[in-house]
Amino acid sequence: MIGAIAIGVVAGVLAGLLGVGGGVLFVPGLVIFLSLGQHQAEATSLLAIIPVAIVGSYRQDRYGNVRRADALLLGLLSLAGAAGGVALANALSGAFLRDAFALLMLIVAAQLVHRTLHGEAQPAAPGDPDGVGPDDATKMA
Amino acid sequence: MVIVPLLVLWLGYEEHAATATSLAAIVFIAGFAAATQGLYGNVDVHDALLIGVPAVGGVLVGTWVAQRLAARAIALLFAGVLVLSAAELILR
Repeated sequence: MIGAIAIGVVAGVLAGLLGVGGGVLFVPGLVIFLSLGQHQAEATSLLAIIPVAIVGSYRQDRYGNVRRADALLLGLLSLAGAAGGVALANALSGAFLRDAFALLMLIVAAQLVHRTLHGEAQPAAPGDPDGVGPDDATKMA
Repeated sequence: MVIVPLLVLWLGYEEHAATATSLAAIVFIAGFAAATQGLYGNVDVHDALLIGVPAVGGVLVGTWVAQRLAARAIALLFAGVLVLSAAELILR
């Protein structure tokens, strides 16, 4: 139980830092520490993500970082995309999907690194109510 | 894992706006998906609370730290997590 709480905290930090739901840690945490099956863990992780995403996006909105209309559009488009994804996933083998997704993640990671190291300078975060923003972090570093 | 790089690489979002907007979009996606899974009886509410409530504390820390990180640090951290996730998928 302590392991589940600890992995919950770490997943939350990752969610806040990177804008992901935290499922990447919730699922193994639920399987290993709370003995759920893989299927049940994936479903339960979705419920755990909701309060994390609500509180995280509320905080980010206070920082002025959330583009609300885009978030709503993305959410609705993802729901439509999910239906297509399920159909595609049923048409392809599990092993192919797994390898293709892993390859996609590696390509995207390479693009992110290339853009970050060789791309143009990025502007600061849009809002900064606490008076400490990425620009200040860069200056302090 | 897909939304943030999509916003950054395709739509030219700055990293802070991308991670924040992604998190807000996830509210809708996870809400719909959890409700659907709930109908199938796959969701364990007790365990979701056990792991999700501590995560709410974590996300407050994560967003606080992210606001103080440079955009390039977030991008490189994200790339690192993508590589680890890809490795985990391949080696599983």
